[in-house]
Amino acid sequence: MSDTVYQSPPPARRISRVPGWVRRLPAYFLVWMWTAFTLAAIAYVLLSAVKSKREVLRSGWNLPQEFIWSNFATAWNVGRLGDYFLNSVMVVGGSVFAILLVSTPAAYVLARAKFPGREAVTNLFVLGMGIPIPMLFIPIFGILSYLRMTDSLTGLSLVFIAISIPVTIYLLTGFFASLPSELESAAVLEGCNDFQVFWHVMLPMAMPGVLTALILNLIWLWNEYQLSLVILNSPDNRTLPLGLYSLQNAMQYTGDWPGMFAGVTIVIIPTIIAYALLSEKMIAGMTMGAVK
Amino acid sequence: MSQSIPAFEARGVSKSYAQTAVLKSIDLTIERGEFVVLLGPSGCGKSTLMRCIAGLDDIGGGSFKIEGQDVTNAAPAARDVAMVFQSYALFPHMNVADNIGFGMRIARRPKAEIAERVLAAAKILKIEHLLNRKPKALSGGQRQRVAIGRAIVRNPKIFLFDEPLSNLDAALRSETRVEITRLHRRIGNTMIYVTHDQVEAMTMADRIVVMRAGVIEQVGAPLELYNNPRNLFVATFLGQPPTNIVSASVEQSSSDALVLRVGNAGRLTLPSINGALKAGEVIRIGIRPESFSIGSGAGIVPVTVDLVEQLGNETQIYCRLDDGQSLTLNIAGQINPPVGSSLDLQIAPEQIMVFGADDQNLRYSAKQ
Repeated sequence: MSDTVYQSPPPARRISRVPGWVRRLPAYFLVWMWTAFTLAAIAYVLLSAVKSKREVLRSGWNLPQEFIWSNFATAWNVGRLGDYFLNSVMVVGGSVFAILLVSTPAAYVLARAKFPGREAVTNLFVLGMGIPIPMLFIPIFGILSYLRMTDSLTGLSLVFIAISIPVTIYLLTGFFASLPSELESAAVLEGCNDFQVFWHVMLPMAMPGVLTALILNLIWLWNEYQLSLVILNSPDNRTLPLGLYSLQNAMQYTGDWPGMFAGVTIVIIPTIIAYALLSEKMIAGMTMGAVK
Repeated sequence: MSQSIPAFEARGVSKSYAQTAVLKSIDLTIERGEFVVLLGPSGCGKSTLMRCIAGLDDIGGGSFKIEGQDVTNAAPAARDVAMVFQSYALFPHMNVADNIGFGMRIARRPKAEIAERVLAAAKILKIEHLLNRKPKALSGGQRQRVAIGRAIVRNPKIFLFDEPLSNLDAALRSETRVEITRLHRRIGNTMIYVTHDQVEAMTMADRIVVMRAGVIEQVGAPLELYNNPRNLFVATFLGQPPTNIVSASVEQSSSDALVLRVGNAGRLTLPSINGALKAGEVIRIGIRPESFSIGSGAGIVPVTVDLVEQLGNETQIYCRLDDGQSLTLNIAGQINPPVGSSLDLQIAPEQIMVFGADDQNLRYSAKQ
């Protein structure tokens, strides 16, 4: 037997001598800069929220000499953030619940059912996502006036629901479409009707997607300012972002900047908590459709 | 003898997707307790037929009966069939016990009954220690058992298996194959099993239904199909290595004998086909690789050896006729003819299949 020596073919392209981590340095640099900037801003807000009026403008990022927790009480009571917090919870909580209640089954049907006009309906929702919100101010206000719902939390909730449904359905349609159809068939053979297939099998499997939709809606509606400003008028109906703006105006005259920072802290804490609790599931949901 | 009602009947079943007909007038009867394998290449319509039997897909025409009842338009759950899917189709958010008992939960059976029947099914499949695990914590073989458990717990009239072993590795596949056959012997329900793997079909089936392009080509017991294929497709689809198909010219066709010339120098004398062929006609014949023997005498076909594969218990020889047509031989035992050498092949005349112009086996004898 002949000893045949096979030579490996020459490499198709020159292999870079620069190690991978060096090539990724610019990306790391940008990410860390971004993170540092965000953390610095949050740290500044948190530190300033517990400083005295005198200290807040002088000490920068230094720790306060004395923690003034009463700033929160000032923001909560004097700035009426307590009332606005409750308004936000009601509007955002109710809206997010209604958005998911409508969008989840709608997305399931659009993703899985076969009926004429399905694509047209799906495209209609996609189209709805492309309309800039400021363009909707006048028509929305007109409709709400007609319904006698301007300056009401119910009216604002309806607008939130209507505006969020297209993007939520679009997001969830992707999740439902990525689920294997054999599971549906198996459930049907086990005796499930259409609703039972959705409720017992497809919805639990799409939970990462539903949680993603929940948290995205929660964050954007909690911080929503423009629509609230257009629709709400009376101080009693303000949501937190509007309340914060009025607090800032008030603090400009009183010079109570720590109170304003305490107000900002009150606004951002719930979204941070929600994100911390749900982020893992949300990331799982974000990547679920991408990799089978 | 009283005629019992068959477990399953399909009459004139057809189905099309857009303009493409995927099932063309399927007629099939399956007796109670039979293990029937639907066998065919990818795209032949076997899985579609199974989904139609289950009620997951509608049919374009024809009818289905299960134990005498017309179920053509019945909902899947009303047909009393259970299906094991290729991908197992276990519900990932439920544990094994919940997966197996899911159908009974939907049917609102009492909890005690569900627990009892789930345990009984789990014991049959030896998975009672896995009942609290989620599917992701199971191996492929265990998942397959759970999927089978979900089917047997309902004690359906018909089990449907859609290529259930294709996701398993070779060793586990043959093990599970034996287990499913044993399970069938034990519970005795009617089973319809879809596969493209002829080994599964040959080893498991009471009867095999060979399908091609939406048509049933032949139905019969495994060896019946192997020994007596109706046409060229069935002859080549069953058997590994596949049947050798060789062109031959008719030298003489009389009521006494059929004499064929194979290659330039080979001459075969076969039993007569009653003048179905004419002298000078070029036809195709089929010879199984194991139908050859090496020897001398009458009915000899000379070949040249191209390649020899020693498998220990048998030897596979790839060779050429003198006109360039290739042949594969399976010779029992160990022989080692040199590559390039000549061999004289002898073939038992009764083992040679003769195909007419329409690819039908002229030696096929239909059994009643």
